[in-house]
Order: sequence, then structure tokens, then C-alpha cells
Amino acid sequence: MTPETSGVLLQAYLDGELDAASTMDLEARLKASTALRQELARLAALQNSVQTRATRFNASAGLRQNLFAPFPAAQPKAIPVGVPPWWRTLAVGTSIAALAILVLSLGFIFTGRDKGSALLEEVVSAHVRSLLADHLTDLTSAERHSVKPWLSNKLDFAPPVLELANEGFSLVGGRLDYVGGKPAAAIVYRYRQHIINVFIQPSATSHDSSIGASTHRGYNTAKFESDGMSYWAVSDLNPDDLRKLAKLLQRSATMN
Amino acid sequence: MLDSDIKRARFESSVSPHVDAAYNLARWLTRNEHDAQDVVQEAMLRAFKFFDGFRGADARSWVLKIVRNTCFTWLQANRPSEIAAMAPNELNELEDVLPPPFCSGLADDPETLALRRTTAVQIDNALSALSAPLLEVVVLREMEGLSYKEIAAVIDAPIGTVMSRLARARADLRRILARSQNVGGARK
Repeated sequence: MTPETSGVLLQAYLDGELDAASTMDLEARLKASTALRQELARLAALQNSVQTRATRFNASAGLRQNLFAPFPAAQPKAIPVGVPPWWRTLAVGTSIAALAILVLSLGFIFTGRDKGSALLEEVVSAHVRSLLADHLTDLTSAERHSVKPWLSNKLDFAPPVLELANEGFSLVGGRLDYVGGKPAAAIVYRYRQHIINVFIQPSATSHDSSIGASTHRGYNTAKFESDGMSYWAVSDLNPDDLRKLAKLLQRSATMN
Repeated sequence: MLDSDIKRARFESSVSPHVDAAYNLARWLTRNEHDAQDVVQEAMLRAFKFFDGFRGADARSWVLKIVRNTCFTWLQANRPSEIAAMAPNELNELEDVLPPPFCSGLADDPETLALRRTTAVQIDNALSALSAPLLEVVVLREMEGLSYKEIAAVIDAPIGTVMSRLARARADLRRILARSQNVGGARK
């Protein structure tokens, strides 16, 4: 046995990776050789020190939460491109879509609540994604006169954009997003260190509604319908201040 | 209810047990907290994207493989020298892998005793001095307890390469630790 093979064999022995025959063979050699035993003792001492003393870093709670928060229920289903065989993907995609439509429509018929909670999930996911992906705004500006026309040009509606810096909510910018299968405007405000996404899209109903607050996955949301638009405000901001923003938005919408 | 919800729930239950292992590998390879978090997040987005193709029994190796590849992409962009360090003459340098000449003597020789006395700081410093291809096999073997076969799957290399890199890594660690302890000893 050359020193080279003995080195690799010793390691495999130490790591419990040696087959039975080689193990017996090596153990016979170990019995016969002080030097080999000594080398094994060094490797074992090193292994023990690394295993017991090296720092094993653990993921922080924040990272863990972020990792599983962002995966979107909301992400629009792109048609898979270039995945062979394409017809199979298409067939599977179609049947999934058909199933989803069936499930969704059952949801519509039997409970309006499921749709609401799916939307809640979507806006919270969209909020988290906007913070994670380093893509908070498409247009960064504290000027509502630049944010509003920019968004209006990209959408088929004109989302209200307010400057509320006097109330503590500073305008950060605007972004295009996608909620409930439809394009939405996301207006981003900052209150102290908290980022708030206000998602706006044309409402399915013409009735105004009062502010409904809820909490989902640790994020607070405030929702209302006003002047033919649906509003969702989402943030890690406390519910009271979030409601304050919702009230300001609501008041300005009804004044228009 | 929606298929995407089901996918996400399946993904979370498959992957979340391995987040610490994923972060630990990324943390050692990137050498800092911030980049490790970025890399893990990026890797998880990739993993989610490819999750439909994952049929596996071994979610840990699958996750670690994606994290590892994301780390190497990151290293390639940010610190290419750490990857290139050993690849070309891996085989030629087998001599370095050889253990020091066998010497006869007492059962507890000085090196063994010194290795047993190493502190956590010395171990961490020695690990930090390894190049990425050596470091990753040590992290996967000694901290995560992966088998040679699992490591081979994660780094996408033959088992022989895993064995030679481990041997080389351990030889390097011994050299580095011997040096740091001599320095420490001289000060005393």
C-alpha cells in the first residue's frame, strides 16, 4: 500500500465510506502499523475539532420568513416557452387552467369570501415581492404629477395618486403590478421606516364600501371600494396608521 | 385551492427543513451574511421555478445543489479567483495530499494533541483560508454530514474528485492549523 492510497483509504475509513472488505483489510494494516494508527488519530482529531467547533450558521428568522412569503399565488401564469414537448405542456396547462376556472367559479358561486381571501393572499404576496426583488417602483418620484400620468399611460384607468407628506406618508413612486388576473397600479408610500403598497384597480362593483382591515401572514391590510375603484393598502405598518392612510385615500376619492 | 397554492405548500414543506443547511453553505462560500442571504433567496426563487421538475426523494441534496450553483455563479461574478484557484492542476497536486511522512513514535504525537486543542476561532479561520472548491466539500461533509455520494451529486463531480478534494482540504487545514498554533505557541 502506497502512502497515497493509504491516505485516501484512511479518510474513507474515517468517514464510514469504506466497504466491508477494504475495512477489514485496512484494520489489519492498522493493527500492524503504529504510523498508520497515528495518522488516523490525527485525521480523527481534525475531524472532531471541525465537527464540534466550526461555526454552523443558521438562517435568521427574517430570512426564513422572506423565503416562503414571496412565492406568488399572484404571479400571472406565463405560457411556458420552449419546454419540450410543447403540446404536452400546453395540454397540461389548459387542463390546469380549466380546473382553476372551475374551482374559481365554484368559489364565486358558493362563497364570495374565497375570492376575497385569494385576493388578500395575492396583494400580500405582491407587496412582499416588491420589497424582495429590489423592484419597488417602476417610477421613483415624490411628485404625484409625474407618477399619475406615467401610470395612466400604462393602464386603462387613472389611479389616484396623493401627496400626503404632511400627514407623514411620503410618496415613493409607482409600479405596475398584477392582481386578481388584472393589471393594477401600485402606489408606494413610506411612513417612517415602513413601506406601504397601495394597489388600485377598477372595482367589480359600483358600490362604495367602508374600510375593511385584516392581517395576513403578519402583514396588515386595509381594503375599500370608492368611486369605482378597489383599494388595497398593504404594509407591516401598524393597523391604526394604515387605517389612517386608507381614510385619507378614501376621503380624497369621494371628494373627486 | 389553486394549483399554485398547492405547489407553494409542497415546496415549503420540502425545502424548509434544509434552509439552515442552505444558508450555512452560502454563508461559508460568500463569507458574509448579506451576500449569503441574497444568494439563498436567489437560489430559492430558482428552486421554486424548477420545483415541478423535482421528483426526488432527496430534497436536501437538490436544494444544496441549487444553492451551491448559485454561490458559484455569484463567486464567478464577484471573486472569480476563488473558484479558479485549484481547478487546472488538481491532479498534479496530488502530492500535496499525501500525509506527512509516517513517523514512528508515541501514540499521542504533538500534532494530534495540537489538533485536539484547537479553538473554534482557529478552526473558523483555517476554514476561511480554503478555496471554494475545497471549502464546500468540508462544509457538506463535516457540518451537514453528507455522504460522498451525496456530495458528488451536489457538486456534480465523480466520487473520486470528492475524495481527493476532501483529502486535499484536510491536508491544507492541518498545515494552516499547525502554522497558526506555532505562531500562537511562539507568543507564549
